[in-house]
Amino acid sequence: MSKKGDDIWKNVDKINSELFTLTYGSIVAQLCRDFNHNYHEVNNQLDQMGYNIGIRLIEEFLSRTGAQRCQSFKETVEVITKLGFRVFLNIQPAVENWSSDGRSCSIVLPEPNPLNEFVEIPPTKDLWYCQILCGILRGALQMIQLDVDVNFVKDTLKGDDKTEIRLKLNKILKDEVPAGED
Amino acid sequence: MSNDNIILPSAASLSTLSIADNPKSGFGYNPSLGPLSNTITPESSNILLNRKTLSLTPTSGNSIYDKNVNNKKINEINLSSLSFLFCEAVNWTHRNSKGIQDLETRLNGLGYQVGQRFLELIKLREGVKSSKREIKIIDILRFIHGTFWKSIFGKTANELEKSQDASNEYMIIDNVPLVSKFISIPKDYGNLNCSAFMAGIIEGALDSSSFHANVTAHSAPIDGVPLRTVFLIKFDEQLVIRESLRFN
Amino acid sequence: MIHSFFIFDRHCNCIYSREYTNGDAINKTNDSDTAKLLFGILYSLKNISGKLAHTNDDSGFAPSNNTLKSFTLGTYRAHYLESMTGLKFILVSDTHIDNLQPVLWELYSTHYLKNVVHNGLSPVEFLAENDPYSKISNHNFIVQSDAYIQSLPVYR
Repeated sequence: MSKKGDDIWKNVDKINSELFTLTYGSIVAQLCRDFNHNYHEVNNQLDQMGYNIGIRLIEEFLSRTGAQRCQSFKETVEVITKLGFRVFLNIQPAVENWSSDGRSCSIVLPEPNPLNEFVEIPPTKDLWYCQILCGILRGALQMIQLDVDVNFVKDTLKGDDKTEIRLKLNKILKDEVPAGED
Repeated sequence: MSNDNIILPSAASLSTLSIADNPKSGFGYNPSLGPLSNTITPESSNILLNRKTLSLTPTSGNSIYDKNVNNKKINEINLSSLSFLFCEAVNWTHRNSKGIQDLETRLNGLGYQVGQRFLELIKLREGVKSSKREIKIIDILRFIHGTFWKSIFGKTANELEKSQDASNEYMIIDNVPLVSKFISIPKDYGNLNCSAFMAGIIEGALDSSSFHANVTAHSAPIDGVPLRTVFLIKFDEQLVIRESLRFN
Repeated sequence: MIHSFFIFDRHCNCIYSREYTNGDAINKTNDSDTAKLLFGILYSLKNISGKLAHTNDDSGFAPSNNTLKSFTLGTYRAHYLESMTGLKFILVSDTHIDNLQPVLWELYSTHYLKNVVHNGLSPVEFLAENDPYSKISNHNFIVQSDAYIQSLPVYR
């Protein structure tokens, strides 16, 4: 699958990742000002923006990879890390800490990554700087009928030993039924 | 500024000081006491030792300040990632703005911070040997149009022009500015030009190098080049005066 | 000959419809009943194909190997592609055209992606009927997908 990621990566239009890093930083800083440093609201807004991105990004992902439906959640997470993160952010996070029922796991981001490079945040417990990633994953997965809770549990920007996103599969959504059919 | 930050005399007025007066902070020269007021007592040494401190010792070596920004190899990322992010930022900004003009000003502001930081990064990487500080308007413009543009957008801008009518106006022209590659403006956004973000980047960089200017983006399509955009750079009048003092 | 082109979103709403009559003229005044009926047939066929195959396992991760691709009626053939995100692309042609899957994929992965998905200022979630945002109104998408379909050797 990594090989496939490499092949797709060769064909995407690329830009300097630092432009992305600084643009994201500028957006987060602006949100902090817009919400008067209420970091809970900043997190929510980042999550919402991520969701809006996720529901679009999944279409590009499917178009570029031609990916077919996975047979298990484990396979889904493998596709996300080896293809998804690779194609869009040019990084390959590690997957750790699977729960025994195979419905939750952690994605550990490499350091630095294109979101948190050059970043130092004031000592606050509340801001999850990369929260937008959670929204993106949640939105993209919902579009392929997977209802997943996504949130950060650790962040090196807050002094943790790693940056870790926790995923938990709630349920598989049913296709919508046209009005009048039940 | 809060009171803690100002250096306070031990008392409001030196003439009213008496031997019994002790400064609030535990320290301070009391003229009526003489050099004695600087004696370290158990109390004052306690105060000293219990001051809140901020550690300045380098810690793990993992902090962002320990990393070398001078990497020769710059990482790349999918253009789509930036386009998704940027469009979402435009949507959010649009919801909070009072109109298209206001929206463009805000996009300019988003770019401004990027420009300030990018300038620093590029100058650091140029290194001391090859780099010198640009002090002429034409030099800083050549730098923005060339090196700066190439580092950020992967290619230099197309043209660099000087206005015939106003001595403080210059134009940088890009035939395919990055953001218009992926955005097409729906009708209800009027004549919004998202390149205002790029104008902000230029403005941030110019301001940081002490060339204060206003930069605006104007779409100026010509045959076969539908996305052609003019970045109009309007320098402070004072800069023109500075320049004529220095070089004439 | 290609007769018409429809897109339905995951909420089962028709978000795009285009009718191509003989020659180059494009009839833009197609009625929405056709779209509804077409969707009804496809929806039922999809359900039946799923039931016949009995491939649903307990995990709930749906199988992908039994998907509806086209059906034929008298003088028409409807070609069908559903993305994993529930977008449904349909081309209606005469019965001489066997397989339009690559064309449908191209419409999704190039034209829809480039003009609708990547244009972050136009919606991807469409509102209910009769709202101005209930359909794809993106100019570039309309122009480019028309041009693509009309350039196909099987178009006439």
